Amino acid sequence: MIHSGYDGSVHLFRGKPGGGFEPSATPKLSSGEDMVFTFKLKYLLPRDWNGDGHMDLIAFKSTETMLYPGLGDGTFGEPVPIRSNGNDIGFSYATAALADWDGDGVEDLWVGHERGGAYFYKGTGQKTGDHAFHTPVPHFPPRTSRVQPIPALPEGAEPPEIAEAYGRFTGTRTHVSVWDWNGDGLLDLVIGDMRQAVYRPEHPTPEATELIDSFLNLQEEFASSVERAEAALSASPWSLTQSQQSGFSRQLSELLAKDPLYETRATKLFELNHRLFRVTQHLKGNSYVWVYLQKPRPTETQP
Amino acid sequence: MTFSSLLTLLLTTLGSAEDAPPRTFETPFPLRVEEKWVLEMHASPTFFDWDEDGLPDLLLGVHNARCGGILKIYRNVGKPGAPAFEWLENFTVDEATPHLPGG
Repeated sequence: MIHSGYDGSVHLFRGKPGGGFEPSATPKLSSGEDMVFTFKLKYLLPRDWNGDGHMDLIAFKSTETMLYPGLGDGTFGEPVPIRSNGNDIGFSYATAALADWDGDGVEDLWVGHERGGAYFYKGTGQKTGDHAFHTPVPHFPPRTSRVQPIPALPEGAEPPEIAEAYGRFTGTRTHVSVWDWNGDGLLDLVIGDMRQAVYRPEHPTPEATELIDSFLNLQEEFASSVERAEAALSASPWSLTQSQQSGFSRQLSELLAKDPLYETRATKLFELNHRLFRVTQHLKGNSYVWVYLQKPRPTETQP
Repeated sequence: MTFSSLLTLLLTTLGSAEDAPPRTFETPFPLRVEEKWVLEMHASPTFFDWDEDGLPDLLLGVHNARCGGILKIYRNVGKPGAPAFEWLENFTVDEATPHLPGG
């Protein structure tokens, strides 16, 4: 079992003969150095990816994806990039899953996104290099803005209502897994993420009503101002490669700084968020694990 | 460059299949374990036959500010095509649960 931490550490737990695990060890590179990544490494997939009979590690980092080829002696060789149509594959804190999704004999890739949603990368069969995967198709679908207003729900709302409130969106930091859940021969997605909602009490006090309404109105205004700025830049962060993101964020910040109401709204929103979450507890996380069953195509339902 | 490698490059660069949507999904439903919703922050699911009974089990990595990172293992007690899970154990090393850096 292998684990990668938020701090960049990598923990290898070797199985013992007869059951159980050895204490944590750090995998070694062929140079003898420990395998340690920089901050924000998110996800490691062990797999014989290059087909040489040795277990490799695919490292999904915040800005890129690399193959660390296993050398068969417990160490790993120099990393090789895995790219999508010439672009890096890297979506921050989310996770990824490999599977032959479309049944063409080539493994494809699902990658979750920091700001919700998931991307499908069709495999080319090239495994490494600039064309290991095709250009990704965003799914669930991508949000049009980096800001998504938090929905309001009645107190005691259960997951079906939560799913309805979010529509086709996932929450934040999508953790995606692939499995044929219902055994129909079609692969399905099982997704964990982070979601929040404002819960309206059944019998709210006037103060609670005012607080919740202020928050909901203000976050709509805040989201609108961000969306307008994004539109003025003629790009959505969802359509940008990872390497383009930082430049876009800087331009967006500069543009928003010219909006006299932006800073005021942001400060007020932060205050209201704190009161809802810490003081009144009307703002709560509802991070369930969601099963997305794949629909068969019409021809597949015919006898 | 051979003809086949040129063809592969053209197909992967120009591409058409990658533009096809990866199918559609039913309205999602939340995972339940022992009649309760699984409610975990930063839940990261994966499936692996942990107890080697032929049914994939659910391994759920979770993270919260109190415990850090923990791997929870849920045994699949259902049938093929109709999974049902019950909590089995948290991942332990020498009977201790490692609290790992989450994320």
